[in-house]
Amino acid sequence: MTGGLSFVWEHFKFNLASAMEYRAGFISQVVFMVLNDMFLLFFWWIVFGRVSNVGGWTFQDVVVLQASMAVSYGLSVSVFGNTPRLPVLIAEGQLDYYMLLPRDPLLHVLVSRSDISGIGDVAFGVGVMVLFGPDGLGPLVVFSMSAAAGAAVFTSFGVIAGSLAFFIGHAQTISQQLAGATITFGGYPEPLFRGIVRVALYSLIPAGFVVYLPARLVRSFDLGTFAVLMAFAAFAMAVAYWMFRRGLSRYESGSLVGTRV
Amino acid sequence: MFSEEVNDVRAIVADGLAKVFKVSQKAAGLAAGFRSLMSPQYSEVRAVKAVSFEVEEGETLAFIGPNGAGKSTTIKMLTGILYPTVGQASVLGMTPWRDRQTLAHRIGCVFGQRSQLWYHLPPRDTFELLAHVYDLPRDQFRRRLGMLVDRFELEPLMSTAVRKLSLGQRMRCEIAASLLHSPRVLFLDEPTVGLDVVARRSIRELITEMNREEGVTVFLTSHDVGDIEQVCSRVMVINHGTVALDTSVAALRRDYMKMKVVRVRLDLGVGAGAGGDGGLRYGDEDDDGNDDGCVDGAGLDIPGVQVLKHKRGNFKLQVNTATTSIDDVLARLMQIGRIADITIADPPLEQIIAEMYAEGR
Repeated sequence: MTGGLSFVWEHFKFNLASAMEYRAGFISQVVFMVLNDMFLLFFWWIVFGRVSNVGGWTFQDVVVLQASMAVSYGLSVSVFGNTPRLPVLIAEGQLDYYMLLPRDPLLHVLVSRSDISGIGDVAFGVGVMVLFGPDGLGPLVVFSMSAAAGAAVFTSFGVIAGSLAFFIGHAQTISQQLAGATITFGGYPEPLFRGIVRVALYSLIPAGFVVYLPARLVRSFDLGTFAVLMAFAAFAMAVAYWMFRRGLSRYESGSLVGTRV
Repeated sequence: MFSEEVNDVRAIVADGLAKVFKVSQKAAGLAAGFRSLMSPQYSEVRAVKAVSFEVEEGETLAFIGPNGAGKSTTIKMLTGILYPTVGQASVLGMTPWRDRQTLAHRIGCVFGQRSQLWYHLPPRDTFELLAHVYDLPRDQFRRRLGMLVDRFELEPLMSTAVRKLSLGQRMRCEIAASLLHSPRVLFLDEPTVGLDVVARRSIRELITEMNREEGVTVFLTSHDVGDIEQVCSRVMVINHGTVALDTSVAALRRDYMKMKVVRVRLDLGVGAGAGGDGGLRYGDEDDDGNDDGCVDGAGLDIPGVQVLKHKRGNFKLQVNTATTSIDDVLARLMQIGRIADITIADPPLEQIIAEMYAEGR
């Protein structure tokens, strides 16, 4: 476990160092992502200037929602930055390098790239939670743990969708649509969705586990809900790992010329 | 072949190793695309057909063949990247596709067309990261890196971003990176591709040194005859997924690499016609009277020498060194005129392999 965390941390440091080679690009990616997230929050601030609540949710609840989405997504793409590229790496036979090293190829491939704009998302999420979120250390601790679980769920669903490439060849569209749907639905208060859509948001599209449950826990902590979130995160990771390992035996490699960036 | 043996000296054993890929078939055009969507057709491509061989520890093997022959597929099965369709393999006593992670501690791989170095960071950073990946103790890593930096003369390159290194410098770093964990078997897939003459020589010398001094087994694929001649003691030719020839490099050289292609530019105006009794003269034309750059060999009556082309002092000759030495050919040319420029090259590997097949091997 410690070895795995150290491995992830070492790669994150290298990705960061690699991105910092281009100073202006690095700063602009982070700053523009913070601005982008702030515009979304500004939109909600205008909405709540006209209505007092949305489905029972206040502006502070939406701040928590946006912060949860930003940190879950930001952690996923900055630490496990190859997740969105997994179907392409599989289809183009670019897993060879990871299979030649004495590490788990799934973890290795995921941490070998970082989307630096994700750091902007994390900075935004933590910043608005500190400035506008509930008072006290407790909600911040719950927020951190829930967002980490949300990131695990988001990454796991990315791996599951991406691993379809082992079986159907081209899975990038499915992977992109799944991530897009999670981000889109996760940006709105949960009470807006009911019935079959609500079921979908806790199954096919994991917005419920990535955003709604973390936000609900910060608003009002409940051990049962917390356990469900953690259990689902562990389950999603197990399914993702199993699916990737099953697919790996069907891997066909390739002859594309490539470098590590 | 897989019987238990004490002190087994075999580094690699392949026994009936085969790989079949399922490939979708589709005719050109949109209509065919729709038909393929409704009723996909597949065919099987047998990339490797029941290949069997053994490589002893410390041996240097050139695994050669034309593009699509099955070289890379075989290497990928031996390194655990691909599962074989049938057959067995053992590398250092392990089954590559089952014991891949354990085996990775004991093998090194260099793919000439794929880099393991981080493009935007200096090589030193990649070496540091690889030390984590291989869980190398700090002291061991420092000693090993120091040795490799000295041996591969990497010190001036260590703090330069990889993207700013020349291909030759990068390849020296690549090979050093693959040796960081002291592997017992080194798989090299076209390590000199795209390199200039000096860089190629340097890479070959380094591989040879590591084999000689550390006893590393070398399994090399290349399209460069020089790699095979200068690094390897044994050569295995694979074509159409089967082993076509397994012999020593000395035997290959004797039997197939005796032909050299000599390109000469003679200085017009100096010594033209001197001693040219019945020999080749500047500006000679083909037998057909056309100066079209192609002759049928008339004019240069040296046994074992065939004139492939000539045009105003520029000659391309094929010399059978088993019949006539290069020295004799040059001496004869110098009777005709002063040599302004000369290159001597091996025929392409594809030609050698084609000759093997032409001879029914």
